[in-house]
Amino acid sequence: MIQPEELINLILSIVFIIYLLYLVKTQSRTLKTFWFLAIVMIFISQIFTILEGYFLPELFNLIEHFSTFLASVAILLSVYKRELFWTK
Amino acid sequence: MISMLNILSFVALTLAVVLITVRLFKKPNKSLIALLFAVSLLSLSEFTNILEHLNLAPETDEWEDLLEIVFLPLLILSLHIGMLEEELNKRLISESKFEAIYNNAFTFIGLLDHEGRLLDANDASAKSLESNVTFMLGQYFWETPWWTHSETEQEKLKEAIKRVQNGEVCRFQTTHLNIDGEITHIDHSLTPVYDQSGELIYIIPEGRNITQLTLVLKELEQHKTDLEKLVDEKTEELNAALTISKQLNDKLYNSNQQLEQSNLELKRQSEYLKQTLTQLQTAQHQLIESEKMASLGILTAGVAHEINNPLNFIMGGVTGIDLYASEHLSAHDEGIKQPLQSIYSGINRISKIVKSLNTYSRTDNFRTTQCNINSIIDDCLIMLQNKWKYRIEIMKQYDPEAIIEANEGRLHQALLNLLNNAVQAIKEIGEIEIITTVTETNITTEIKDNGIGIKPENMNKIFDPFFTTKEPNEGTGLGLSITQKIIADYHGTIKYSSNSPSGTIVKVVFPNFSGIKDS
Repeated sequence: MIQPEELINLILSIVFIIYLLYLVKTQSRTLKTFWFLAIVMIFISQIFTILEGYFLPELFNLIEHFSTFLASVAILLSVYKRELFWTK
Repeated sequence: MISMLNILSFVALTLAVVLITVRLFKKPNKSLIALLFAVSLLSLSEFTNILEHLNLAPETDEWEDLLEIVFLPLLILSLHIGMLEEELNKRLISESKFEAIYNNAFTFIGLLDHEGRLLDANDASAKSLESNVTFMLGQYFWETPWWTHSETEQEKLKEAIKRVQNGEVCRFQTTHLNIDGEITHIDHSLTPVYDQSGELIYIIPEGRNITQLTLVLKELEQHKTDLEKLVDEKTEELNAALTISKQLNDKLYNSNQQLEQSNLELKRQSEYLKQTLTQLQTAQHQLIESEKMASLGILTAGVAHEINNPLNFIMGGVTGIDLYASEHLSAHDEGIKQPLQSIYSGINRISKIVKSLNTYSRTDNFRTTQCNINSIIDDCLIMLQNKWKYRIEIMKQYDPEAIIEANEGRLHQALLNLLNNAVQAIKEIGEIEIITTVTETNITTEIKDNGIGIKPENMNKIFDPFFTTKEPNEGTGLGLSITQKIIADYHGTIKYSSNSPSGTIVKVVFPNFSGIKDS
């Protein structure tokens, strides 16, 4: 069953992702960073969080956590490499 | 497996949090703070997830969802703040660059609204007044202290702003008062600025101080005027100098002409001197020759005198013998008469020779008498007898009135030379024809021979002193020269021409001053 928190989370994520895409439209370099990869991975993680309630709950749960892991590693690399302007 | 992934995620995120925290301490930053919160929330979410999977805190699902809901907005917020900060930084850098240019430019730059009110002015503008421009902001530009010193300049500015409002870019020269109250010259321009719809929003006034340039230009203008004046003066001086130079040149040319004429005169005189020298040399040789002739005359006179005395004795003796033989030796008349006739003949010949010698040897060179040319020719022929007798036939055709006023000795010398030349021209046998004619104007003597003649190339040289075609011991080359001189002294002329088919004709013409001619 889908939980209301997860649905709210997805809706908010979609809104913020759209806003994010609007922001990066003017700065194409952002798309090539680990930071952007992390955002995408977290977004995927949230999608699979919802999907695991309907189909293949174990596999999708694994994918969700794996996506979160990749996002965490990407955030670490992004911070380490100072690839975003505000970390410099 | 899932727990392991959660743990690894947690570790990675915790490391990221530590790293961000360290950097945040080094350089505080709003976007980093937002990022720290976001990553920390995600890390905490993973931590609760781990606790849940380990059954240490089974009721944390709500917390986890809440953390995940907050995480993404925070992450995007951090990005948003970062982008804003970057944009702000860019603008700040751009503004600082602009301000650096704007306030450090030497030119006066400002900003007016579309109606000409002052919105801003750079530091250079403020420095020109040594005051803050803040109190002037909002005033019409022509009412600011830069323009109030002159109504004319104010009107000029107003007019320029009107033109800018009509879309033109204006540039004009004006004056401002500086802080010392001195007038400075400004090259001023007004440039319109339009918005995207084409509406005039700003006017940019710009002024460049060209006081020094103007002063330099004025100074240059003054120098130019001075230079032109100087050039005019120098041109006049040069013209004057040129005129003087021309005059001097003319004088020089005249002097040169005079010098050339003098030079020609000198050359002429030099030639004349040469001729004179030649004549003097000729005269000297003539004198020598005359001296020789005089000596010869003295000698011949002495010889003639000495011969004449014994000849008188012989004549007297022979006459006595002839008388005696006529009186006492009549029987031997035939035998005596013949030798006596021979003796008389010989005595007569000796007498004639002596007489000729006397005629030739007369030393009174300047005394003139009535000279019979025919007699003189005969005397000469007697003197030259040994040279022509037996080989040359002499044919005479005399006019008995051939008498001129001259010195007989000199005339004898001249005719002797001509006859001697005629005799010498005939190498073996030949003829000499001597003709004297008298007209009312002239007395002419012609001597024609059929000798070797004169070569045409020598015809012009025969009267030159020392010119001779004879052998070295036969002639001096002075004979004809002396002869010509003697004839010329008595106003006569001498002319040689060829005698056909061979030989020479010499024609001596004296003027007949008496004008007597027996018809």
